[in-house]
Order: sequence, then C-alpha cells, then structure tokens
Amino acid sequence: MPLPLSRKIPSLVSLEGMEKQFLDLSKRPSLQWASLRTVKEDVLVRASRNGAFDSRSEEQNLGFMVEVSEDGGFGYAACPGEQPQDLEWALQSARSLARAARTRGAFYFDPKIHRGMGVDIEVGLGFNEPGLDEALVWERLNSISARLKLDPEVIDSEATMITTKTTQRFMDTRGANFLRSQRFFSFQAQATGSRGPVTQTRSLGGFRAQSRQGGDSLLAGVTDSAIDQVREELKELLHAAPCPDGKFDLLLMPDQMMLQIHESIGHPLELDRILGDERNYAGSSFVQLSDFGSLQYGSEVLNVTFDPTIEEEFASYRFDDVGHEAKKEFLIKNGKLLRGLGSLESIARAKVPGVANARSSGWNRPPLDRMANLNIEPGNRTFSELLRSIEDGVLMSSNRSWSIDDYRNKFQFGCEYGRRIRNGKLAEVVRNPGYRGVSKDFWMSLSDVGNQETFQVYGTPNCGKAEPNQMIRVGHASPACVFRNIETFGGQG
Amino acid sequence: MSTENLDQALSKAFKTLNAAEVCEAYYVGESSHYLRFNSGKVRQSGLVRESSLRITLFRNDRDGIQKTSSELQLGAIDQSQVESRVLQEISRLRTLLTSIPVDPFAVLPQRLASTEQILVGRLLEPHEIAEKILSPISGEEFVGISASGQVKRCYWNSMSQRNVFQSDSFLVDYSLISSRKKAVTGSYAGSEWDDDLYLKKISDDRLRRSILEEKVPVRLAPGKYRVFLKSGAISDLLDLLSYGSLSEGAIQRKQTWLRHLKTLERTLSPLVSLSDDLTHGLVPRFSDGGEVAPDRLDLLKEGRLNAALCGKRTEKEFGVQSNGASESETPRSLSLAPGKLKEDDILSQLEDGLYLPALHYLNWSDLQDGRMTGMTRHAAFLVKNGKLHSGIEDLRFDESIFHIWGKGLMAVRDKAEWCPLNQTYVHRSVGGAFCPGMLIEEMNFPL
Repeated sequence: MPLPLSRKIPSLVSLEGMEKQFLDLSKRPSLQWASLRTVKEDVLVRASRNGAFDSRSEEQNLGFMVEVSEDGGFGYAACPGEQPQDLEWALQSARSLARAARTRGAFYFDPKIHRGMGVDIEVGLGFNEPGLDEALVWERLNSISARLKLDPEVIDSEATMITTKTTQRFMDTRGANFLRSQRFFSFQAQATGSRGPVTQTRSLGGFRAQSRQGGDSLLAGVTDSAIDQVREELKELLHAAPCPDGKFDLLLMPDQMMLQIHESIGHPLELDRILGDERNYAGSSFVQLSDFGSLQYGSEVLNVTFDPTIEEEFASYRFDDVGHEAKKEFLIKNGKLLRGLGSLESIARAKVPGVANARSSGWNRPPLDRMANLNIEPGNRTFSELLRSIEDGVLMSSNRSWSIDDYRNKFQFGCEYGRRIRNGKLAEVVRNPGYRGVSKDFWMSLSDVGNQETFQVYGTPNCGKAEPNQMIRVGHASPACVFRNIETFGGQG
Repeated sequence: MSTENLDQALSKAFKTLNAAEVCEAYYVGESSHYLRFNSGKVRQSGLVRESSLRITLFRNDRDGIQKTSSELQLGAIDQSQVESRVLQEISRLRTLLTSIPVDPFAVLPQRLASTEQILVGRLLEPHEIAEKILSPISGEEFVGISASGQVKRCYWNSMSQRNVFQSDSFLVDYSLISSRKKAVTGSYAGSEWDDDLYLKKISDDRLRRSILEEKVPVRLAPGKYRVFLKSGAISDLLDLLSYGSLSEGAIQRKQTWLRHLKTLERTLSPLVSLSDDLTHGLVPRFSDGGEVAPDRLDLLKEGRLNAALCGKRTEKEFGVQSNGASESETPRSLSLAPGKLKEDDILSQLEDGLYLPALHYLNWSDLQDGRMTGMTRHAAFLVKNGKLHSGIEDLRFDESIFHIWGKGLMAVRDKAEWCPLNQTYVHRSVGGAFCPGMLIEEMNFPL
C-alpha cells in the first residue's frame, strides 16, 4: 500500500514528482521488482580555531537510486538532483545491468526476501527543532576554541560543529513505502600543547566521538567545565612520563571502548565480510558462519547488543535502508556468539540470524551490511569497584590511533590520555598510552564490566567500508571495562 | 552537466557580484560504472552519475575577509535552471555572510593560469564489463571491483580563472585468493582497455598465487626482520604520509614528525627523494581552491626537507611562502625517486627476511616520533637464502619513519611503478603515486 503523498512532513519531503512517477512506472507488468530510494541530506560544518573563524561549508546533497531485480540478477543506477526525467534512465539502466548479471550473479536475488514492510514514517530526535542563530553559534565556537587556548603551553585549538539533516524515502514494487527524517550532531573540541620536546593533543572524547542524534541545542551540552578539563588534562600530559611498556591490567573508558567494540566485534561480525565480499578491500573475518550459536567470543561477562532503540545514539532507526524492521538483539550473550551483523540479503545468503542493518552512505551507494549501533550492556560494578579490582594497571581514554589486521585478529590501539592505577587507586598521568592484542583473546580477558553509571553513548560519522567506498555513521555505547594482563606501551613524542 | 553550460551560468552569475565580493566555483562530475565481484561472480553492478557544484563567496571590506561555501547537486537541469540555481545560491550566501565572523587567514582568489586537460579514452560499455573481466577467471576465488567511466573537475573564479580536467579511465582492483586464504592482489588501470594486457596480468598473478598454494603459511615470532617493501607497500605508506604529514601548516602547529627535519634535529637517508610530480598529466594541476601547482615540487631531497606543501592560508598565518599547495596541503601525485637495486638482485640482497607486496591499515602510533603501525597482508612471503620460501601468517609492525627511511634503508629499487589510487569515497579518486620498492634492515614486528 503506497504511502499517501499527503502524509508527507510539510516542507521536508523533496523529490515528490519522482516518487509519483515511480509509482506509475512500477506498475509495468514486466518489472519483477524495483525500488526507489531518494535521499536529501543537508550538512553544515562550522569550525573555529584559536578563538577565531576557521571555516564554514554546506552541502545540499540530493539524489536518488533505483534498484532492479530480474530473474535473480540485480542492478542499480543513481542520479543527483530531482529531475523526474532521470528516473526513466535510471530504471532502464538498472534493468539492463540486472539482466547482464543474471547468469553471473554471486547470489540469486529473490525479491521475496523484501517482505513488503508496508508504510511508515519515522521522525528522529530533534528533527523539527529550529536551528540556532548563526551568530550565536559562532560566538560559542570561538569562545570554546579560545578557552582551550588559555594556557600558554597550548599552541593550537579547535572547535568544530557538524550538523546534518537527512530525509530518506524508500519505495518498492512490493508495497514498501517509508519515510525517515533524522538530525545528527557531531562536535570536536581539541587542543595541542608543546613543552620542550613533548607535544600532545587532547580532545573531548576522541576524534568526533561526540556524535549523536538531535538538534543544535546539543551545543549547550558542551560546557565550559568540560572544555577546561580538556585543557587541564593536556597540561598534565605535557608533564607526564610515557606509558610503561609491559603487561598490565587495563581499564578502558567508554570513549575508548567504542573503538574496541567497533574494530574487534563490529567488523568481524559483518556477514558480508564473512561471506567474502570485502576480501579485496576492508578484509575478511576470523569468524566463520559455523561459529554462530557456538563460539565463545569472550568471557561470560561480555554482552553485546545491536541496539537501534537508544533514541539519541547516532545510528538509531526503526527500519534499515531496505525496510527491515530494526529491533534490539543480542549478538553476544554471556560471551557466546549468537547473531551476525547482516540484513535480509545476507541472512538469506549466510543462513544465520542477522539484524536490520542494510545501510548506505547516501543516494549514490547501494545498501550493505553496516554496524549501526553496537553496544556493550552494562554490568554491575561501580567505577570505584573497577579501580579497586586493579593492583597494578593503566587507565586509558579517548582513541587517537587504530589499526587491526584484515581478519580482525591482531590490533594495536593508542589513546590520548592514560593514568597509572596502583593498589586500586588512580596514580600519575602517563602520555602516549597504547595497547595491543588479539581480538578473541582480548575479549576473553574481560573480567569486570561497569554498571549503568559508567555507561556512556558515543558515535562516529567516519566508519569506512565497501567497494565503491562508503563512509557511514555508527553509534557505540559502553560502560567502563577491565581487561587483565594486556600488553601496553608508550612513546616519546 | 556540460562545461559550456557551467561556463555560461557562472559567467552571468559573476557579473552580479558587487565590488566587495569575489566568487569561486568547483565542479565534480562523474559518470561511472561500478562492478563489484566476489568468487568470480557479480556481487553488485551499478551506474552512478555525479554532478555537484561548490560555490564559495568572499566579501572583502574594511573589517577583513568573510567566506562561506555551499555545495549543490545538479541533476539533468537545463541552462536556465542552472543559472537560476547559481544566482539563488550566491544570493543566499550573501545574506549568510552578514552573520559570519571575519576569517583572519582567508586569502582572496587570484587570477592564476587557466588550464585545460582532456584525456580521451576507449572504455568498455557497462554491459560488456562483467563478461570481459570475469570470463577469464571463471570458477576462481576472484574478488574486487571495476570502476570505469568519465570524471570531470573544473574550477572558475570571478577573476577570470578557468581550469578544466576531464578524464576517461578505468581501474580493476582485485585479489586472487589461494586455498590457504592468502591473496595475490593486482590492479589494471588505464584509459584504453586492452584484453591482452589484462589477461597477461591475470596470468602473472596466477603464477604468484601458485607459490602461496605450495606450503602452509609460516608463523613467525615477533621480532626484527629485514624486509623488502614492494611498490604497493610503499604506496600504502605514502597514503598515510599524505594525510597531514607533508603540510607546512602541520609543521607550524607541531602536528607532524616532519618538523624534526625542518629544525635539522633529524635526517633521513640520502636515498630518499620525494616530490609532488604532475608531469605525467594524470591528475588536475589545479586544486579545489584554484591553486595551480608547479609541474614538480621537491619535498625531500636526499633525505633532507626541501619544502613542505604550503598553501596561501598558511602563508598568511605563518609567513612561509606558499608553493601552489591546496588549502588542505595534501599532495596531488607523489613520486619517490628510484635507486639502484635491480629486480634480479632483490631476493639475493634480502637473503633471509620478508617480501611484502602490501601493507594494511596503517596509522600513527606516535605521530611526533614518526612511528607508525600496520599489518602485513596478501601475498607476504618468507625469504630464505635468497629464495621465496612460503607465505607467512600476518605480522604487525610498529616502526618509525626515521628508521624505515633512515638508518634502516638499505637500498631502493631502480624502477618506480605507477600505483593508481583505488579510493572511491564520495567520488572516484584520480591519479596515484610512483613508488619504487625499498629494502629495509631490522624492521620491528612486535605482534
């Protein structure tokens, strides 16, 4: 049942003419399955440096993709803009490519896997909130970057705010018709300081980790005290010794846990990686399809969820880009691997349980398996209890370096800020903290998981994958966690 | 969108500017066919048209320069619609500038050289591509992507500068996977498809794959190994260096290891000479901000810093003379000078060590110290007594550029190979880098 166009959200729906035309074209009896995905995305980036304007840029991104399936073959075509005359070209092109792929397809695409999810509208958090006055935003950004630079050892500071409004509509010939409107907010505050041979950078939780859904009012959440803390911690780092090399218990704060989850749980559980699609680019996975339901991925306190229900988290949604309804699902429960990160198409190919995560970076790229929100569920330890459990260890927070192999085994991560832990108490600050390990062994060494009070929500707009490449928003929320006997290292810079 | 349509629309729009305003525009156009394949079969096949125009408006008055930009998508719209959209956008940006602070380091566009580079190719039709690429490899574990079509980049400003770059090109970037899950990677790029060249590449790669099939990959202990980094691995290393490391602004803000070369605290091996080299004509000479680069800019000469990439904004802020770099101060086409190591001598000089065709997922582990980490990947071989012995289980390296390009650098291959860029984030990248292989002593592999 098509969504009556009168149910549009006033002034937000573009491409209306094209959508009407698609409904007409889709009635052609020879067309086995086709979809139209229209995307309108407005991005505004404002950056201040050292208390003054640095840059301002906008993108008004508007376009559409048509996908066609014919006798198991599959093709797509995408165009910028909103010209109905392009739709006929796109439909014919996608159909021609689908026909060419019929005898060479890696997978027989059966449109029945798209179950005809029906009609719906989703309006995300803060979507209808009015934008802040331009001059006020600049006043605040300049004030933040100036505040970061108050210490004479700070040589450079920046405050960057990225706001995005997206409206996406998906229609297919099986009656799917949904509209999703969302608003996203990312903030980066960062300062670099220098003292003698030592130069350090400290930010508010790592590169663009302050990413969530909502309107401009989230800027009010960037408080002066949080900015002062960034500057003070930078000063501490400039006076700190390097993180020691050795084996220590490791307390990871949520703003580093997000990266740890992302690289060593998220990517290895993507079903398209396990199916081999990414072997030439992003890589494969140490996880096998036969591992679902049996592999002990980590210790028994590890509980990992695909959770699209935390409204403010960066990649929450009710339906993925092919209309699959998104629900909270345990991927790993009590350490055991249960479910993969794959949507309808991958579930059909892999024959293992999946989630609603077919997503695309925009109108010009086809949907595929992405992470969305991937979280660690809170445990029962207070932060004090986590600390007390460590006799000789290191706390690390805010990611600054990441690298992992193509099967997602051997990783090495670096953080901005570290503190030694001795006899259950926080001790001196250490600079250039880093650690390395192997994914499954590392998760088996997870001994203690922080409670809800330690649980924090982060995200990033910069998860890259696929050929052609796609950069996409993901969310990660986690409590603080303790890992035992981990290899750590420092550095001289 | 034709260049002529945009010429006319922008010419009309620029005439509406007032005396305090300067305007520039940057166009990205593309008509690409993407074929993604897995296990020698079509995974996804699609056509993508791109057509975006970024307009930047500057206002220069007694208080200083203000600047803001906006990017529009242009579909199949006619001439009058293009003109009205451009005018409408300039008018909107004009209003916005009233509430935007002065940019203390903005530099107004100038009238630099106008240029035109049109590279006409002979490409396969989209419906032919799957047959041409996949037929010769039927039944094999063959995975990767083909990207083919026309890309266009244009720049205009209201000072009458006009630059056009248009290129027909293709890239097949692939991995041939062995039964031991190790891959031989390859790429075939150009502007004229040649069946024989493609088949020859595949045939050579099958031969390399057969070596991977012979023996179980060896698990090596962490430690220091002598390595030969083939051109692909050097290209991976240059990719990491391209993001911020070679920038004069980053030196001034102490955000790159390169500053240690500027202060002469540290040096690299005299075997290292690196330039941003546009003489091959495969990338636009102009940047998205209209800067026109010299044909060749020497960055490192025999291990010493000759020049970092310096844009006009850095010049204004720090007083260092600019050298045609873009505002982001990223290189356009790096070229590393070849040395004297001959192909036939590589394995004998490596003797016992690792032969690495590619590196994976590089990142700085200590940016200030130039220390980087990453993984071996694909057809990495253990070499014993100057002969390829077997594949290896992947190792993680963590080593400083001051070792890799410093004391550890033993020899540089006598031929630099063209390594095309395979990035397709948002748009297809153009260009690549010329990279010779390098022989390195005692490279550190801690995991």
